[in-house]
Amino acid sequence: MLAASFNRFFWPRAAALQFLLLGLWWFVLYQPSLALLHLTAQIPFGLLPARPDENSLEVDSAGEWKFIIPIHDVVRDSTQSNAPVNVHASDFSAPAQNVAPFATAWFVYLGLALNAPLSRANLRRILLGLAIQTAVSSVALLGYAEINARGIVANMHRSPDALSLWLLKLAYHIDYLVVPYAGPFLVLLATHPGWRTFLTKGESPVEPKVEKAQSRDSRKPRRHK
Amino acid sequence: MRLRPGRFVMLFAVAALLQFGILLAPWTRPAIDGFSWSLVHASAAMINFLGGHAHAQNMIMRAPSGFGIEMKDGCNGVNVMILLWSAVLAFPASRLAKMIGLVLGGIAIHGLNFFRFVSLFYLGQFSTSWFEFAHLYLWETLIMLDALIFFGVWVRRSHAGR
Repeated sequence: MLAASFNRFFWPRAAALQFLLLGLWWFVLYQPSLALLHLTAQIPFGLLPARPDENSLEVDSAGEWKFIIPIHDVVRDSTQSNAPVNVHASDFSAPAQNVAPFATAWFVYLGLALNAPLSRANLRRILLGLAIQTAVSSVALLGYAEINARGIVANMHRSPDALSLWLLKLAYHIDYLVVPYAGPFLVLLATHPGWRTFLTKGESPVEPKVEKAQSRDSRKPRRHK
Repeated sequence: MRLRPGRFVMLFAVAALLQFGILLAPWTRPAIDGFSWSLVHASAAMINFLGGHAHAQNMIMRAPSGFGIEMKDGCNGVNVMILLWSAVLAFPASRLAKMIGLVLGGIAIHGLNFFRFVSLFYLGQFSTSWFEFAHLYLWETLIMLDALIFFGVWVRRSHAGR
């Protein structure tokens, strides 16, 4: 009974939770989530071999995200000079709304993960999923910065290499237009066996518990009056 | 045919990478642009047919008030369709079941995306903030969810048909 009603409203509830969680993010938690993204992204950005006096990722008072990405390259056919140009780093800035897609993934993931019965085991899975999602978002932000930085350098050439440009375009497309949106779904499927079971077999995540209770009852000796 | 998770994940990743590579190849650009163009024009035709007012101009659909929305890459539903197709191709099923999954999956994604584009056209005239929220985040997630629902139904049907 419980499992049947759970199954019936599984997808409508999943959609409603997305409305709820994404609405909460957009109207209330937008700025705090960006601050959290900035904080968590310090870990992968900290691995970049930047100069000690420079921070690879900073957010200024106006909310603009500033990236300084170390790149060691020599541009021999530069559009700016006739002599070869040594490139040590590429810096650029982006408005907050450009990096916001990386912060939305937590809420999409939570909206999906909360669409399962809350138990201690599920709570553990949700926390694990959140940790994985945090890593994915932070690394994807680093990827965004790296791809943009390399794109700037690639376009410094008088005749940019077509294959390099295509590879950068492909990497950017996947990192910026696919990972922030598909990531939470993949993390969910990787961490929640209940969702996988529901998806492939149509069995509710609450069903095994009910079956267990029934089988335990059947083992009890029956008293006949 | 049994599902082996490792094999599924690997095939899914390879299929997705190949399709995104093809999507971004210069020689497929005219086809993608043509598809986006037809989506904009079909949406405008539908709105006008139902009594609304919209004017399609290349990739932009405009309202009489001057408000316009442009169909760009990432808005045409192709990304989600590629992910769904990759999942269908990677899942162990018969060729016929896969063909059915590819065709009906494409229809499921683009049907909802068509509705999304029309709804955004009206939402944008009502509120810029709501438009941005729905356009960049909510609809993207709902279309992903649509793909997941379709995939689940297809998996169960293709298993039941065996």
